[in-house]
Amino acid sequence: MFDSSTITLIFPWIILGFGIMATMLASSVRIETRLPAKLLTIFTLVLVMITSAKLFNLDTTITINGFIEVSHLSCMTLFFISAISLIFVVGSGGYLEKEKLHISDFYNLVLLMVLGASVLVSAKDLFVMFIALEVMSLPAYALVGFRRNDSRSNEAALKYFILGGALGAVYLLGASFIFGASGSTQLSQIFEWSKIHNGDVLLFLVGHILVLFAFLFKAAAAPFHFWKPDVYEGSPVAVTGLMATVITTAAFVVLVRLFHMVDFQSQSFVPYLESLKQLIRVVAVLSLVVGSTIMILQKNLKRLLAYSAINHTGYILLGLLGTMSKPEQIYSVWFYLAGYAVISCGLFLLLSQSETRNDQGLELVDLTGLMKRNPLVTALASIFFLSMAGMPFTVGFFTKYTVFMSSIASGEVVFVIIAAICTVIGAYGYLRPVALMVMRDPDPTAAEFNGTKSNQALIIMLAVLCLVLGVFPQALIQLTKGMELIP
Amino acid sequence: MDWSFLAFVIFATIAILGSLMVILQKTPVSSAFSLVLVFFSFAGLYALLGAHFIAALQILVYTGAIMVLFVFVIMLLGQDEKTTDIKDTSLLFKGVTTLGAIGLLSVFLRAVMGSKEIVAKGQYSEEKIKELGGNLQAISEVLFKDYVFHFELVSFLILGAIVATVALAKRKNTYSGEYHE
Repeated sequence: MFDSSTITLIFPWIILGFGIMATMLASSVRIETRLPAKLLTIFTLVLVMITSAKLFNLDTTITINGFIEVSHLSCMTLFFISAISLIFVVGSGGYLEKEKLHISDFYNLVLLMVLGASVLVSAKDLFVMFIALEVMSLPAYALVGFRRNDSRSNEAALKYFILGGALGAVYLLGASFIFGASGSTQLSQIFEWSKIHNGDVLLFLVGHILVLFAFLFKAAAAPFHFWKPDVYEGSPVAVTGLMATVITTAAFVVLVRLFHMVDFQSQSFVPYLESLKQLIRVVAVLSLVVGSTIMILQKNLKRLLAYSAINHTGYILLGLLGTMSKPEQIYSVWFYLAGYAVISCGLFLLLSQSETRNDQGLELVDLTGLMKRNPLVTALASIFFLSMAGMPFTVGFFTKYTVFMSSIASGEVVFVIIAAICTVIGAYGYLRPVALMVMRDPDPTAAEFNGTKSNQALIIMLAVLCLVLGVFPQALIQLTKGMELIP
Repeated sequence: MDWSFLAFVIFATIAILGSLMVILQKTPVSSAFSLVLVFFSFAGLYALLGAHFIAALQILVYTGAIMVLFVFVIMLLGQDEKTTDIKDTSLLFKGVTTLGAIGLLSVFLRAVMGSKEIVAKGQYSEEKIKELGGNLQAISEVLFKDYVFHFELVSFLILGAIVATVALAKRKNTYSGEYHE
């Protein structure tokens, strides 16, 4: 049971729970008034940020009842997830208004998704992970289908829902195999079991691979990526941004935990490590190649960003590969996730300000000649696109650099070369919109970008953050180095 | 031969045959009723393991509530004359999926057979359950003490499902005040 000291440790989740209920009540009073729900959501997220920062300062590393971990890693990701969601909640009001989606259910669903993601990043038990995964996914399915009058949105939501449900079942099957082999669902006990176990590990390996599949699907690694372009294209831009940041971050934190579920130093797990490495190598290379090559063929901006997300998944998996033999390199993965989330947060907020002439979503041609009409937006968009491509002096360069270094340190040179080639191919994809904006003459049918002043300020802040982290990445790297994995 | 082993074989056979019938039946209603068979035999398996409460819940919740929901949805969606038929799919698709399923099954079987012992026992032995006063007591003990965090989280999961359904199924677009179909 929980005593008073434990209650202090799970405070962020309690606040989120109360916030969700308060938002529901606020939206039930009068359904047309959205301001109370929005303000309550902002208030809740700020409180969660403050409490998680306080927990981070406590320097504790404790696993409550073996289910929920409170450590530097979980507090930092919790802070990060709530900060990113706060930016989206603050910045997407105008967009929702424009799309006629601005109802208070949106904020409710976002808070529920944040609750799922925040439990997911600190879960140390296969049960909690599953429930948290579903708490995170269910609101996400609904948010994807939020534009109910758009058939693409409906299709995307249904596709995401059915595939996500099926992969949830795959996760449960894998978890039952792991439980059958190791006798526990708690990650710390499974780790202890792997230290003393000798003999056949095939049952455990099959279970392990199945649970990894479920989260590789959520992170959209290559053989499981087919849903991503359709879902990105169909969902509202603000939701796409939330998926690219919050869900990706949560999925990768769990993936890292699940990969390091067993003690690879133990005698019977040495050949096991090799087969897991083989799996990640295949998935990482596939994601890199598929992401970068198909990306350069895309005409729709959101589809382009979907393939770019698959490509970035490949880089993060490469960083994960580097940590298999050197667990202290794990900071490269966190650093990459943070950098990528900052970039995509800015880019998706920027895209949400566009107004296209037709209702087909933002195409690449809509950016033609934007330089002459709106230099500020062009500059901001160029910064984000170049960061994604990994240009020096932007955060995208250092994230790729640390991942490459950590994989080279563990001897994966061939894969780093493949990744470097994919970076070059991908750079073409990112430079294409930039070239369209800068070098062409204005097109009267192109999209307009007019957002509110506060949104502009938010996006400028994120762009400046991209550049500052691109020159002085040390602070963030130091912070991520403190986020160690605890078995 | 042990009687419980015989009962296990009977229930397991019914479960496997029933689930095969679910996917091979031509009309959705017959599929749904084959599923009832599967749920019943699962309840039998739970009872054999000594989990009588779970067996009762299985029949109440699955065969009772969830199956009614299934049949209700089938009724509401209306049943077309043309039903799905496995013969309509191409031979290549059937071959590939069958081979994939057999491959997966053999991997699973090999994995389960290969492990010398299934160590998952759990802390609730039959003696301990007797000591606590029965299945119901043991389950409540676990559910509301050790797993109270999970329990609360599940309530948020259900809340999320409700909010998501209401947000998607609301007939009127409350923002613009217009009706959309």
